[in-house]
Amino acid sequence: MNAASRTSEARAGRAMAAPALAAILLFFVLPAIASLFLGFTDFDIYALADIGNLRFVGLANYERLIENPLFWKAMTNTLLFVAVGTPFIVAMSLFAAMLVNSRWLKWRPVWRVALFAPYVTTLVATAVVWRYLLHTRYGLLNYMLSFFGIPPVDWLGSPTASLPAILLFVGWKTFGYNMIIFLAALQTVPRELDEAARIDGANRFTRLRHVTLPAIGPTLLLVSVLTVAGMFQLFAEPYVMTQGGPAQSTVTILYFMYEEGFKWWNLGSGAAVAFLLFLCILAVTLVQLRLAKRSGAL
Amino acid sequence: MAGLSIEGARKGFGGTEILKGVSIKVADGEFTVIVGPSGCGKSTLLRVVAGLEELTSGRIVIGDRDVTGLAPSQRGIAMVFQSYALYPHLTVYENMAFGLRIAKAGKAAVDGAVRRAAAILGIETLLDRKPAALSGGQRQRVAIGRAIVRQPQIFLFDEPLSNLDADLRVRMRYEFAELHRQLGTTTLYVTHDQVEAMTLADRIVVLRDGRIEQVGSPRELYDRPANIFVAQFLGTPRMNILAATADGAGKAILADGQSIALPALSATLAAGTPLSIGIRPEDIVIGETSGALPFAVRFVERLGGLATLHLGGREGDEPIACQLRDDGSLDEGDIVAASFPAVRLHLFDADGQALGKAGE
Repeated sequence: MNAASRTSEARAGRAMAAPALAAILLFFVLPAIASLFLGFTDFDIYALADIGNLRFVGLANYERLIENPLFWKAMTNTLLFVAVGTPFIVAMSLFAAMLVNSRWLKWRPVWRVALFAPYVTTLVATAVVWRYLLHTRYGLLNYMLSFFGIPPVDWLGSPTASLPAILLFVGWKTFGYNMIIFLAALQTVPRELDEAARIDGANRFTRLRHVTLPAIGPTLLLVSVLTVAGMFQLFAEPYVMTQGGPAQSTVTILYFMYEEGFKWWNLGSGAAVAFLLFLCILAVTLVQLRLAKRSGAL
Repeated sequence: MAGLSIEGARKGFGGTEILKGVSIKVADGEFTVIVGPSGCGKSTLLRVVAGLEELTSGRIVIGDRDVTGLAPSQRGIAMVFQSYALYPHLTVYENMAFGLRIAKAGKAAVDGAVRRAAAILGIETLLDRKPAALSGGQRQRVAIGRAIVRQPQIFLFDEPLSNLDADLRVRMRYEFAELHRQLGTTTLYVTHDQVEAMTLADRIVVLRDGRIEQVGSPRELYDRPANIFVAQFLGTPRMNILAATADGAGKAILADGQSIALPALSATLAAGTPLSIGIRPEDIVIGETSGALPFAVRFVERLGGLATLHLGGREGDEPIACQLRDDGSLDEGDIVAASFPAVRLHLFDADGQALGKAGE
């Protein structure tokens, strides 16, 4: 390839990437910079009415946040959702993907549709159904637990049970999407690798650990990053199911940001929360990337 | 080491029966090649021996053990796959040690076995590399090394040379033969390449449509094919088959009305009996002799030392391939005299079954 054709190929590449890059710039980079900027101001309802009211306040928003116990409560809840929810959802998605990928399962397309369906159903509608499932007296979950002699749990009314209840709902709602990604990856793993391991005497778990997981390493990383980002940005589920309660036990960082910004109109403070959230997701993603590189998944 | 016995193996997928009652005995230390066209069931047969597929009915016996219901790892076999199936995230050493480590063999035993196998295959310098950093031939050796490390009673090879280029395939064929001489392990080798079958096998099993067509040594199958399928499957260019009718007087009348002398065994054939006459390309004699027939040279394939002439009369007829030393004297459009020595003819009945080899 000569220099001229290389230049024209590079130009074509840039032209084709430009629309996507423009969208990223417009909808991601600029808002991120704007939120960083707004986080240093007292942007509020008065500034919305007249931009002349906007004042630069330095790090005051961040200082107030650090002193706000609700911010730390929201941060703790969110980290709990991330720490418990990510492995739970990733494991559930992978298990479902392996199930619908296995040769012995009959009606595989039906299973795939059924397991993917929660992801594409309306959140509010499914939340109503889940409120019934989790109902203390009439809920299916408590009815099933009663077979094991476990007394009724007030899933959405108890500060200790509300977080697992929301987690269960979030897991059910989102695992189908990850399942499809895993399914695509599993279908690229050569069957011979699994068969070679069977001949080598590896049991099902060893084959999963030494053959399947390394083979889908990059996908595992992608799903983990997406799930972590999703859990950090958890908002709609607690908003619809518990409104952050009881006793603020399901207030997440995004829920806190929403209340700061759109309930109390402290938009500057809300922007500061958004920027902190962005830093958190970035940091965790970088850690995940490093771990993946060290384990050879990338 | 041990012999292998496949008894009445049947295997179906859904409503399709792939193996239709296959029985093979492989003697201890024998190199048996299963050969056949795509879809004939040869890979399925290998997989049921490995235990990767369950038989619908039949038995697999290794040595004196019925292994039909056993897991692959308990059968005493090792398999080399067409795609090599090396674990991509493990080094060559780890790939070869994988099976022994799962069997919880001691560190020294694992190390000794891996290094011994690596020395046999000449891959000692590759042990720290990952499969992605190896060439096709090197990967093939590692896959064989992984099989050797298991010290199996039976080696199973599933088209192991298919992914290699032509040069490497020739070299690896030689190495396979050498390895078998060195280890003496009973081997079942599946291929669709008749050259591999002819060059490597002690015995060849020709499979078609889930059934065995013929079993024998390469020489037996080449010289005394049981039917037209086997006759044409082995040998390149493949055997010529000419439709003819016996005249009841020791000759056959070809479709174009010309006649050729038949071997003695045709004496019992009544006049008008339909026949297929087979002759291998290298057995056709070019030159003016008594009984020679005129043919036009339609096409010449020059291979350096040898040339293949495609002879034919009318357009649309199946040409007759003839192989001879290429002295450059013949070209397309030439008319040549070709004769078919009676002793080199193979006769087949209307169902394509051999009537017996000429002169025997």
